[in-house]
Amino acid sequence: MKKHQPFETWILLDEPLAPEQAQLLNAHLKTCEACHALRAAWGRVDAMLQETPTLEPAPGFVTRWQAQLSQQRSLQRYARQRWQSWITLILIANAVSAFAVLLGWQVFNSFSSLTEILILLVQRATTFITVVNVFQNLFAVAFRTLPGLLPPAGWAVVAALISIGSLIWVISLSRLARMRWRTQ
Amino acid sequence: MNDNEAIWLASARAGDDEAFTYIVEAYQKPVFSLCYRMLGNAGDAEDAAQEAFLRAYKNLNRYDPERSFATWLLSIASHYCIDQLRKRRLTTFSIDDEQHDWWQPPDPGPSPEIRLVNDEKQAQVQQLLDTLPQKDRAAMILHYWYDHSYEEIAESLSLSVSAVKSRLYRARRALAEQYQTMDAQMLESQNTERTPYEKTPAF
Repeated sequence: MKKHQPFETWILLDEPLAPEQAQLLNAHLKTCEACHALRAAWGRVDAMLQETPTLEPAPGFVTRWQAQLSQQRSLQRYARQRWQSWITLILIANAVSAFAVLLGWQVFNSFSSLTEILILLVQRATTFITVVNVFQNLFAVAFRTLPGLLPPAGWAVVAALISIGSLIWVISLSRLARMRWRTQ
Repeated sequence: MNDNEAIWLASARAGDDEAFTYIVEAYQKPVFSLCYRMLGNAGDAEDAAQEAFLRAYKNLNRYDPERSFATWLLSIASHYCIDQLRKRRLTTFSIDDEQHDWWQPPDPGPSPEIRLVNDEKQAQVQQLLDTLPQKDRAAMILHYWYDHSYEEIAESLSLSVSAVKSRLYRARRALAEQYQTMDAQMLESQNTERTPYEKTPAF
């Protein structure tokens, strides 16, 4: 390897050689087959590199870039919204927990003993069960009397009206949601 | 950088997407070409070029207007391609080198014969470049296709000027040797093809 130096370096150098260096190199190339082959090979590669033109992307590169940018922006917006939703949820949960703890503390302090609390709880439960019972009786009476008030066709019309109303409500809600999503 | 570019860049930095679109239009060819030379196929080159522009747009506030925008942009593209090549080396599955259907090479204009020769040359150049290590390849591409000075290459690839010089020297040597090997293989295969005929009595 050493015997080819500095000729190899001169062959592959990107800068012009001094006249004496060029002379020495030419003399060496006449006798050294390896250096001669290296220079020929590099000459061809260099020519190929110079001749090969710059490549072009497929038409519509800019449009595709714009689409990618807008897609990335949507993803970022979505991620930001999700993050904001989580923060809001955590804040609400914390506020509710704090409120519950405070309320519990106040309720506990307003009673002198645990027995008093238990008695109050039993009273509230009894009231609740009584109210439920009253409503149950009311509904039972209504179910017995209402069918006689309207003929079956009338009930069908009422059911149809309720269904149509629900459908209109659902469609309006979904359209409003879609409009909001588009404007974002 | 011309005056228009300076205006587009200033507007883009102020958040004007449309202004940056002009930059993409102006630089799509050099960025894509660099990515193609680095990655070796049109599909990956398209993805890399798109990503390079996105990264440039996102980091536009970090760009120093005193420096060349082209050098800065090509540096982003080079680094991205180097990362991709590193990742590719880590993957064990084979890489699909086929060209995408939607990608058409630029129409060189001349006849199909000349086009064929050009395509062969392109393929040969790519084959040679693919043998180089990532940073050497990037240095060669920036030097040969973009006329970048040693200083610009050093800046783009985060290397010292002397490292760039030695990498370029090493790359030239590797390319010349690879070319010699390819040439020898081609001669050998031509000889093998010819042999059966030469053995027949007619020859």
